[in-house]
Amino acid sequence: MSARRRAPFRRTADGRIGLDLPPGVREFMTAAAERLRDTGSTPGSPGFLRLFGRIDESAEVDDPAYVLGRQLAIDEVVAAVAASAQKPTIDTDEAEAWLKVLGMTLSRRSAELGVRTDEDREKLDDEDQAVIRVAYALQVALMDVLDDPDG
Amino acid sequence: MSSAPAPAPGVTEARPDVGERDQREVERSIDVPYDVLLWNDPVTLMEVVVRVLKKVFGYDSDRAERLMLIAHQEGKAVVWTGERDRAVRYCLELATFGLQSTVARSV
Repeated sequence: MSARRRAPFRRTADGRIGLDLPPGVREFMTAAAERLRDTGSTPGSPGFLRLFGRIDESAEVDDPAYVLGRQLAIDEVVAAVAASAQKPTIDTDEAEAWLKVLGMTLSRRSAELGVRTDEDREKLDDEDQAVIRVAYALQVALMDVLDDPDG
Repeated sequence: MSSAPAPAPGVTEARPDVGERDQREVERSIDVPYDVLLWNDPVTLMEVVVRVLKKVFGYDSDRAERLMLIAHQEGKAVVWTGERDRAVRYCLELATFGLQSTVARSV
């Protein structure tokens, strides 16, 4: 006999999103956000190239407008996730920041691992596959609750 | 006001020494449309791509799904066309969701 698994995210009566997450998942989110912090300022790194390297192939990577835009975009979501990862509930803006951190983490990590095709992804070891599965599960569960106001 | 004399036949007129960065600024100032190209990638879930296209560009589900499938099957898709600065902002926003995109002059 096993207890029915509860949804990790649920809409609360006041319109916020309740979190029913194990401590390890909250730590995963905090660590993922922290690891993204320098991604916009490390041109040449696999994560930078995957996320920002193709935005404007004619521009200099040190173009001040781009540097500022990248860093602001990352800082905003990192701060939102770091501030909300241990809370019992989050608002929809914070939930969107969680989605962004998960998306950037998948892109950055896959770039670091040299994943360019579906076949590359399938050849990853169990630990890396597990990280991807956790990120996918959180993304899908978050999208379900965000896109269903009654959910 | 006077115009410069035409160069003699067979003589190439020297161009002012315009730096690469200045040349790009001139090109950017010309009022031509730019595309936002969305690239296929092996890790982003299809439903995530559809949701991001709906959220960032305001597309309905059918349009977002069609564009996602074009990117998935053909490697890239033009997901928006318009003014350059907006195209860059859209690309940055797509990147914050983990999606890869490029600003390119529309052809």
